[in-house]
Formats: sequence, structure tokens, C-alpha cells
Amino acid sequence: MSSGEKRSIQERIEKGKFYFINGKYEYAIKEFEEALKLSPEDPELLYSLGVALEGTNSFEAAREKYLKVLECSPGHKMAREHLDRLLAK
Amino acid sequence: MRSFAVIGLGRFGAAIARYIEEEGGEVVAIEKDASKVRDYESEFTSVVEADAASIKSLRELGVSDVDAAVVSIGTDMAASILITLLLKELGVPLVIVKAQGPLHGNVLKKIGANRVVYPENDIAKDIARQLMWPGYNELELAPGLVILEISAPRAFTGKPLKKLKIRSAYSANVIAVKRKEPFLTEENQTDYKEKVIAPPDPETVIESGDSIILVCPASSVDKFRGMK
Repeated sequence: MSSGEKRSIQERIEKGKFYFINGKYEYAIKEFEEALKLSPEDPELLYSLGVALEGTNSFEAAREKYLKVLECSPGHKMAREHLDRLLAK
Repeated sequence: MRSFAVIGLGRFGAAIARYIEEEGGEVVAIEKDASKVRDYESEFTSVVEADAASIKSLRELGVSDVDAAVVSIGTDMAASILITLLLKELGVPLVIVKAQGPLHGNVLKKIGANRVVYPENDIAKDIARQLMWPGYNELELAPGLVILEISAPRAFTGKPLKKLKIRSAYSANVIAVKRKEPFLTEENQTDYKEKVIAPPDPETVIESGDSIILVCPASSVDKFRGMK
């Protein structure tokens, strides 16, 4: 991955988080999805996308992302917590 | 203190007895299998080895004075029916019975069981519903009346409750709104907390990602199912 791509991912993540904490989940989802195109198996990105999807009550899609996080990073505690919460819904 | 009898210490009966004791109730647990009595005698305050299909045993154990009885007999349908009948004869005001299936359940209702439950079927129904309608929860409050939790449909977002006219359009009353409060953790990870707004103000504006909790007649449930 080039340094330009790395920078682009970082910018997308920051923008995504900005939108997320302001409750603009749809915009956050777009940013995280764009970043994931460059780094499709990044557990932190997948997790952030999962949380943003949950924000819009897209529970099935969020569940898929958390499962993928745990595939890539089985010890990811936050993804496990969110997944357990979703499974209990 | 309220007192209860639990008859049959299978998994369901034992769980009921455990929760009643945890909530501070008094339980007399009756089981005719000596090995099960041994399994639970250290856990529960009062576990008795007895045949509950005998009115004499039930009387001796003081079952006629309990506030309610739960009959949780595994596969012996005849015993469960007979015990239910005896409990009603003894004047137990509330008798709840676990049924094996609809036929068993119908007989139990006809002989006076106040409530018939089908634990496996009820759980299966809940899980199937959760799988079919994620974010949708339903709880029967009384016959014909339910509490629903639904994800706020897109058509509701950005509007105050009073403008949605939920009462006139859906015969439902909103009792709470669950809202996500997003934040970043110390590790800079996204997360959110849930805040419950109860009761919501008529001016409360529904936001994307909210869940709405409402009370409505069972006949209105279909209007909410699958709303997006």
C-alpha cells in the first residue's frame, strides 16, 4: 500500500469518526466503506463500520461486520460485546 | 412473604424455583425422583420427595396455602393433568402448567389451569421473530395487548411525535424512545450508549437509529412489522 493510500484511509477514518460522533451515521458509513475498499480486512475499520451500521438500526449488516472482525482478529473485545448484544436482541 | 409450589424439578421447574428464590419468594419444590431431590436439596430452601399426584401429600405439604403453583412435569401428561386438577380442587388461586403440546394445553385449560405455557415453543417463536425482524421485539402484556419495540422507520425520522399521529394512525401509544449516544472510547474507537426517553414529550423529534417502544392492540402489530 502506497503512503498516499495510507493517508487516504486515515483521512476517511477521521471523517467517518467525526460524522459518527455527530450522529450522522449514513455519512460515517460511506467514509468507512470507502476506506475499506483500500484495506478490506482491517479489523478496526470493519468494527467502526459495524458500529455505524448499528447506529442506523441495520442490525443484520452490523452483525456481518462484527463476525468478519472476529474472523480477522478473534480477540477483538468490543466486536465480541457488540455481537453478543445484537444476538440477544 | 409470597409462597409458591413448584412441582417437577426438570430444567424448567428448577429454573422457576431458582428465580422465585432469587426474587425473595418462598418455594416448596416437589419432586418424586429421589436423585433430582438430592441434586437440588442444597440449592433450594425446601425440596421434598413426594408424589404430587396425591391430594393427601399436597395437603400435608401445605400446598393449599400457596399463592401460586407451577406444574412442570416432563413427559407424563396424565400426571400433569391430574396434579393440575388436584391443585384447583385445593383452591390454589393461580396454577401455571407447562404443556407438551396444543392438545395437552387444551385439556389443561379445560380443567382450570390459569395459564398454560409452552417454553420451547415460546422461545422458538421469539428467536424466529428476532431472525425475521431484527430490531423488532414484542411482549404480550395481556390478551390482545402488546408492547412493541421497533426501529424508527425512515418515514418517522426528523419529525416530532405529535406530528406522526401514531395514536390515530396505528391505534398505538408511544411509551418510550431509545436513543443511541455516540462517543469515542479512550482508545479512539467508536461506540455508543443507549439513552431511554420515557415518557417522551410530544415534541420529541425521532432521530435516525432510534427505537420506539409502544403499546398497541395485537391487531395493530402487522402495521409495524417490517416497517423500514
